[in-house]
This record gives sequence, structure tokens and C-alpha cells, in this order.
Amino acid sequence: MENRFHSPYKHWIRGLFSEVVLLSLFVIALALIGVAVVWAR
Amino acid sequence: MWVNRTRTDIKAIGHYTGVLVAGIGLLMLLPMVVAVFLGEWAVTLDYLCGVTIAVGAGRLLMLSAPAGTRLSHSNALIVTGIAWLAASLAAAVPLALSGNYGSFLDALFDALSGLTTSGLTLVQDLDHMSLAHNMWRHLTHLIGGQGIVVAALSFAIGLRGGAVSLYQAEGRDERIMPNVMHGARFIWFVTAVWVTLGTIALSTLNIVRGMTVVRGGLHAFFATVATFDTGGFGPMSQNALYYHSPVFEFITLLLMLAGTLNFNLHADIWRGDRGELMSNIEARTLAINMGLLSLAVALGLSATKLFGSSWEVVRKGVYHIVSANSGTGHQTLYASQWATDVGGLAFAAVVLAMAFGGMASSTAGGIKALRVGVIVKGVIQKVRQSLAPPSAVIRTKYHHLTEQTLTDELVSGALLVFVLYVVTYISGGLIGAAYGYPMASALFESVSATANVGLSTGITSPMMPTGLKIVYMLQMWAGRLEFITLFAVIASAGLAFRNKKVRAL
Repeated sequence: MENRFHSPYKHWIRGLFSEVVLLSLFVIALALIGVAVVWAR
Repeated sequence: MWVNRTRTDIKAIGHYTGVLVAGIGLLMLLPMVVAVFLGEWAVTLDYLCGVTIAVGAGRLLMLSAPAGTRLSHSNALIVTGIAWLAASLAAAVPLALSGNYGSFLDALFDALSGLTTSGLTLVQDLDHMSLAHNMWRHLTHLIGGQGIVVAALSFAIGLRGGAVSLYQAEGRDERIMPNVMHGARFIWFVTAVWVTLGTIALSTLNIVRGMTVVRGGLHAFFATVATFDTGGFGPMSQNALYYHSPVFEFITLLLMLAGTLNFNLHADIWRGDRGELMSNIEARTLAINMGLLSLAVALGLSATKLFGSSWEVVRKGVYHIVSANSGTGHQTLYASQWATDVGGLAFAAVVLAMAFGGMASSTAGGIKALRVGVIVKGVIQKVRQSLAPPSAVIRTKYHHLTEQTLTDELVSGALLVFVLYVVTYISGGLIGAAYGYPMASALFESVSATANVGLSTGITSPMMPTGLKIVYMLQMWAGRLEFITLFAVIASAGLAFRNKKVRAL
């Protein structure tokens, strides 16, 4: 079984990059919800 | 059965509390160095007093039992409960000497608010507070956000013999790694990476926008720590509104969301399992929650005509929902606007966001998305059972790090904490109303204190009644420790008092 706690740095950097991208997309999604609501009113 | 503490138990509790208080004292060396570096000599003296008192008191308490004394789980609960108060008392000493607080109680309020990552503040003339004192206020977020015990474990400060029990007693029931010491260090590693990235990004922004390198860098560090640790303090009285920058708000939004992620999720994503974020019940619940509340706040704000453009409605709405839901408490509105300008729907959405809170095993407070998700699944299971034939066996599965089966015990445990939070939210609101504040504002402030958020309608101020300051302090303490630890401390104190009375008769 892969040891999840001794990942190489490459994995950590990829993981961090994924977090930044996914969280940015989430913020954009929340903003789009807001825009859609304001536009619909 | 109620278990009485023996003399040995009390000595062990005293020893470990002493270790944690001495640890807080040593951490005060950091702002002291900043004060020396900046030539703030009066402030250096404040920290010299703080270090001497905290380390001295801690060392004295440590003498009550030898190092490495074993600590049972129930004693660990009591150490954790007491340590948060004792650490706040120690942390308040330099703040009280700063001249920015009306009394020691006000400084203690801020120290407790900082350590519990609440962000409510009673500071006066914040805009002219020294940078070293501001550094300490924000460091309390960093220490408390990771957990006082986690902080001590990471630096291997004399917790041998009580490490596992203390780690669990601090509200971290999930182990990130098999070894708690490694788990504690991983938490600090993730934090260090995010804080470094955030500080670099915000420093660049501050310097580009005209701040000096030192001021821009320190403001960036303060803002990053306060957002990643979901605290909410700011170095300026206008909080995030001071910066008036959409880029600042976007970066802090990312930091707030990263701070509210369960450290187990960070561990899974960092080892390459990005799918966990999509399938995890906690992440899904939080995402749905924020989505629905963003919708509500946008509807509410656009109905009030408070802002001239749709862009402003979305910018303010999303920022406050993420700030409230993650338990951060940064605000880009004036406190008084909550009660008068934002309208009922946006107001209610923000209160609900604060009440639900972020993820478990993160720096966020509130009921927590995992519990909300489990309760919703429990309700769905009950409905399915009522519609199925009597002989049918209904099993509900959910994904949280691994595939798990929903049990009645899990649902009742989540419901118990849910009810305790709701009762505390309402009780604090009623107490605030009894002091003469409008019920809606009092409820907002009570939820903010209990869920360790820090958004304020303006009730929390140096002029508020002393009784209400104490109530909010108790709420912040209870909310951070999720009640059970607090009850353990109260029950033990009650038993000790009763036994003393019986012996005296």
C-alpha cells in the first residue's frame, strides 16, 4: 500500500497547485451564482 | 459514574497545564524580537514582563509532577479546557500593558478571541497600535488555529506521556497520521506553506500599491495568518475594508477556503488523491451550503439597492458568505451596516453561514459541515426506512476519507453537538437582548462568538457591559472546545467543590 504520509515533494507541489486551482474555480462558481441571481432579478 | 480526581491526577493536570503556559511564554519572544528590530523599546519591556510571568508561572506549575507523567484521557480533557484559559491569561499580559485596552479583562477578551480564532475585539485605537503588539495578536490566531496542544507537540515541548490524549482532547478526533507527533508537524507544514505563499502574494500587492516593504510585508503576514487560521483580526480598525482591493479580497478568499479545509483533506490532496475533494461528504456539504447561501445573500443584497452595481453585490455577498461559513470574520462592510442596511435575507444568510461553520479538523468553528452532512443523511435514511417494507434493511453509505456506513450512534452524536450549538447561540442572543440590544443583532453576535467567527454588528466594543464580555468569552471558549471539554472541567470543579464541602461537615 502506498504510504500517504511520505509523498515526494513533486506530489506535494502538484497537490498544492490543485488546491489553488480548485479553490479559485469554486470562488468563480460562487461569483457566477451571484451574477446569475442579480441578472435574473 | 462520576470519577473524582486524586491528588496525583491534579498534580499531572498542573504539570501539563504548566508546560502549555510556559510554551506560550516562549512564543512571546517572537514579538519581542520584532519590537527590538523596530526599536519599540517600551513594547519590548511589555514582552519581557509577559515572558517572565508566563514562563515563571508555567515552570512553577510544572514542578507539581515529574516530566513524562502519564495523563489519562479524562485528565487530558481537563488540561485542554484549563490550558486555553491559562494560555489566554498569559497571552493577555503584554496586551494589557500595551495601553490599547481599557482593562485587563478587555486584553483577556482579545487574547481568548485570538487563540480561539474568533476575531471579535475590544482593542482601542487599533490604527496606532505598535506592529509588535499587532504581531502578537495575530500570532495568537496562528497558535490557537493549529491548537495549543498541536503547537506544543510540533515543537516537542515536554508533552511526553500525554501526547495522544491531549491531541484528541483538543477536538481532533481524526488522526492525520498514525503518529500524533507527525500529524501535528504535518498540520504546521501545510500551514507554513500556505502562510508563506499568502504572505508573498499579499506583500507584493501591498508594495505595488504603495506601502513600505516592512509595513507591506507585516500587513501581508497578519492578513494571511488571520485568514488561513480563520481568525479575523486585522491590523487596522476597518479590517479588510481598509485595503479596498478586489485582488486582496480574491487572495484572502482562497486563504479562507484553504483554512477551512480539513487537514486530512489537505493530506489526501497533497499525496495526489484529488478525487477526495469531490467525493468527500464534508466538502460537498460545505460547497452546497456556500452555494445556496451565496444565492440567498445575492438575492437579499440586490433587493436592498445598497450597492449601485451588480459587481458590488456579488463582491460583498460572496466575500461575507465565505468569511462567515469558514469562520474567519473578515468584513468589508461597516459593523453598523449589518443591522440597518443589508436587509433581512442577506442578514439571515450570513447568520446561517456562521452557525454551520467549516470543516472538522480544520481551524474553523461552528457546527461543522461533517455533522450537517451526517444529520442530512440521517434524515434521508429515516424517510427511506419509513417508505420501505418493514422487513427491508436500509443502509446508507457516505464517503469521508474512506467509505463509511451511517450508524444511529454517528447521527445522534452529530445531533447532540448540533443541539448544544443551537442552544448556546440562542441563549447568548437572549442574554444580549436582556442587556438591551436588538434581538437580531444580539443573535448575530452570539452566533459569531460561539462559532468563533468574529463578524460583528458593533455590539462587541470596549463600552459593552462587563457581564456580556464574560458571556461572549465563555461562548468563544465553549465553541472552540466543542462543549464536551468545557463540561468535563465544570463537572470536575463541581465534584471537587462538593467533596470539599462533605469533608468540612
